[in-house]
Amino acid sequence: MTPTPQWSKPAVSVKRGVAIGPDSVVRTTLANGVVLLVYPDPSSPSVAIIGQHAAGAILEPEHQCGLAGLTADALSRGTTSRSFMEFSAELDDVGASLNFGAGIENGALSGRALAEDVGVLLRLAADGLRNPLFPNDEVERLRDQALAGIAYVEDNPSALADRRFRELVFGRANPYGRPDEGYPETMAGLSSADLRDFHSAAFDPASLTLVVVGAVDPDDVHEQVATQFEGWRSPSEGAVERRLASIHAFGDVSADGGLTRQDLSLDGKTQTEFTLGWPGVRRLDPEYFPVMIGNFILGQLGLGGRIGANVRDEQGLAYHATSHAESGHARLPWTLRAGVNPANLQRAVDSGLHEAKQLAQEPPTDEELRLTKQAMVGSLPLRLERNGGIAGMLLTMESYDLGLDYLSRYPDLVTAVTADDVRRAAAQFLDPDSYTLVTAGPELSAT
Amino acid sequence: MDNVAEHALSNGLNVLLRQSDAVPLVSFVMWYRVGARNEGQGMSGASHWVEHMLFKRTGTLEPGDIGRLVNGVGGTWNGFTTEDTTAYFETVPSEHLDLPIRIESDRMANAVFDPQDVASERTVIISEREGHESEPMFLLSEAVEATAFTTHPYGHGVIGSKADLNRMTRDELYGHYRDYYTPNNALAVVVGDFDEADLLAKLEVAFEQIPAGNLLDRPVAVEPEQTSLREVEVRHPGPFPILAVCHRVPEFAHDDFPALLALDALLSGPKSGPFGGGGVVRTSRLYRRFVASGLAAAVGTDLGFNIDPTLHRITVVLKPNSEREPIAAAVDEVIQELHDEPPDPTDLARSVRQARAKQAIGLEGVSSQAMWLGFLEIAHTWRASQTFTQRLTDVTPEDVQRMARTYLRPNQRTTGWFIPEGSLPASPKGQG
Repeated sequence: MTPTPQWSKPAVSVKRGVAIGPDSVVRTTLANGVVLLVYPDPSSPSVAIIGQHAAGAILEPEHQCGLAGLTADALSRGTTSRSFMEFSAELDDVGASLNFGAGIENGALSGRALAEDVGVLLRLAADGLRNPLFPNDEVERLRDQALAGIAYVEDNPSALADRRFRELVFGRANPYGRPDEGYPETMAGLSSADLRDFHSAAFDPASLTLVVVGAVDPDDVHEQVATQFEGWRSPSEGAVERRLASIHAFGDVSADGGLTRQDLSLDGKTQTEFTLGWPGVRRLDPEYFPVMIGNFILGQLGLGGRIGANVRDEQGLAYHATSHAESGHARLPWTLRAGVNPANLQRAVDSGLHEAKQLAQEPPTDEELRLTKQAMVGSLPLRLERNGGIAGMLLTMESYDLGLDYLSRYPDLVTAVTADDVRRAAAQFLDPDSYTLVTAGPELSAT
Repeated sequence: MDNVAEHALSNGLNVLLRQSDAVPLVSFVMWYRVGARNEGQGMSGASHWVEHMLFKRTGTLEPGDIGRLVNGVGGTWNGFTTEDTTAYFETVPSEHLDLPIRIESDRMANAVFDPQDVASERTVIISEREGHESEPMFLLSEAVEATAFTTHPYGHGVIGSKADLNRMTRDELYGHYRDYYTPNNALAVVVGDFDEADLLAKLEVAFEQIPAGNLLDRPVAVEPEQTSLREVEVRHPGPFPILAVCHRVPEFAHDDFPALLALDALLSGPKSGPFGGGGVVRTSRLYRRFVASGLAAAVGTDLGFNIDPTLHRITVVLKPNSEREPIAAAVDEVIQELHDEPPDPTDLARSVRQARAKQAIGLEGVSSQAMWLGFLEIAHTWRASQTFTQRLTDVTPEDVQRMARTYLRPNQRTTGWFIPEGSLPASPKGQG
């Protein structure tokens, strides 16, 4: 077998004969600024909706870390017209699901239902976003659940290493350095009144984008969204501007030119997990595609790219050894991660750094570049197979103002990247002498 | 599921095909009828280790090639091992359908099990196990399974004990591969955009050169009837107490299975497939009793779609530092309610509606359809996909009560506790 797959013309036509683009996606805007994107797919029995808005953790003060997430969780826990159980029953009666959440840069929602029940999702999404009551008893219960979640993070080596890594890279004074789920001490202080205040200050229809994909009629969806959302006015305007100002203020952290390492010891663990990395790239930076290609070669292609081949296949040190390049409006981390026996920790760290250094010194091979480009372009049909995948892509296109024709331009954006572009991007971001490393696992001196 | 064609190649390889041109993709899933249930003494984890070895060397493939090749055409791939089966999948743009056929026919017959690859994979799998050991839920599940099954290999888990992983030899692993990786012990499921006649011809060319093997007539140990309540405690550093209340229940092919699924759906909501998923339904009995009330932090259930009698599990995650006794008593009360009264028909009908919707949503996409068909065929028959929701609809409230009275009994129960002990908060040591 001589495995040399042929280059195939990138396919962006997902459903037979229908490309996802300006001719098939319907984009409308309500008077209050709500943006709606609808992609009708009559072949699917279901519908996916996702949305995002300004109320991310970036708008919460340091002493209220976790406020955005707790507020989002509480949106369905009692509104002016529904108790938590009434809200849940309307969804459960038709087998639908709807969840609210908050990440660092955005508040978010996502829902799934049979296509005929899209109205249930839109009605309840609007009720949760517009009319939450934040009852004391429900907030208390959610806080308890959140504290259990934090206790899990603080006991889990990889989650804990990741949390501390962000604290060290960004600092706890920077919202990007704090965990979305909060800390026990900040969560303890949050009251229903705090949630109400955050809702008033940060929930703004002018920042809301809704994406609906499935067997729906765009005009019908627009009408329903207009009915549910058009009357929504934010009590205090300016969330959009404050979010952008915060991203501008906090999102440009740079490596401080030194090496920082922390080893966290956890009782009862046998494996050490580490996160090693650097501030990475913004989604709209010119280096974005070279970084994504470089990261795929470094720690994704096949089973963990070069790092997986070295640390897992050749040395047998780790079950997982990969790299991850995040991006947002801010410079999010580019990290190497693995879980190893503590006796092998230094070998694994050194191997990861060696691979990062190699990528910064030598351009990738033609074969690596060819496979990676084919992987990134050729995987579009797979990434856009389900309604949720299409909705996620449309939301990204809207969030970063990439244009509805983005998918037709995407293959060229990927294929234009040269081997030297990748090397240069790696050299710019992956400094082997200046990085942050956090390990978490059994006490290292005892091993 | 309609539009499924069933074929058998001359060497006994079973083939299920479902054509769908909704997307230009094809999902190829190769199933072998071997998993933890086929592992004897000292061989726990062998099936999963063999699965890892099938990503290593064949005569023509080097370690890592399979992933690179499939990624390189824009596809996705992986393998997994369960109690009952080992499976490998590639989902690729349909013009690359030849690639999974070449990979799967090659590794069915030609995996090398190079001693150096076996050695490096031994430490990789031990690392995988040690990663699991960081999870309190893994430690509890392992203890509960070992307690609930005294004889049947479901008691030793899929990943295997560290002692067996350290002990097993290359030749034993290779023997396990040769025993079970035969075309007549395998099932190929292909869903997506292809021409059926063309695909069948390709499958014949690629697979029929592999001769049928001798199917092993090695009986799987039968678990004796459980006659008393069993209890197990895991005391280990951890974030919160966890309670697992498990009952011995029948296998997927059993006539009672649809009613058990309905009972399970009332407790926590319908699952969207044999992998679980779909989330806990907030109007379900357990969510209302434990989470909506503030009694506990999280709750869930699991019902195995297994070849042999298996476990139904109720799991309650307690709030950190909370009392255990009220939680155990509340689980008993929820079970007693099911014994005492048939469920309200309205609640049952709602669970069935939820199950239908979750099925429709969960089966979106060629990969999930190929997984669903294969899982059902391994557990019993793919034809169960055609009757699944109807059989669920036919369940009566009295059936559900009968399930509770028949199976959710103390003598069939194994109760497991994870009890956090002696843990200290993480203490940093640093330089910088």
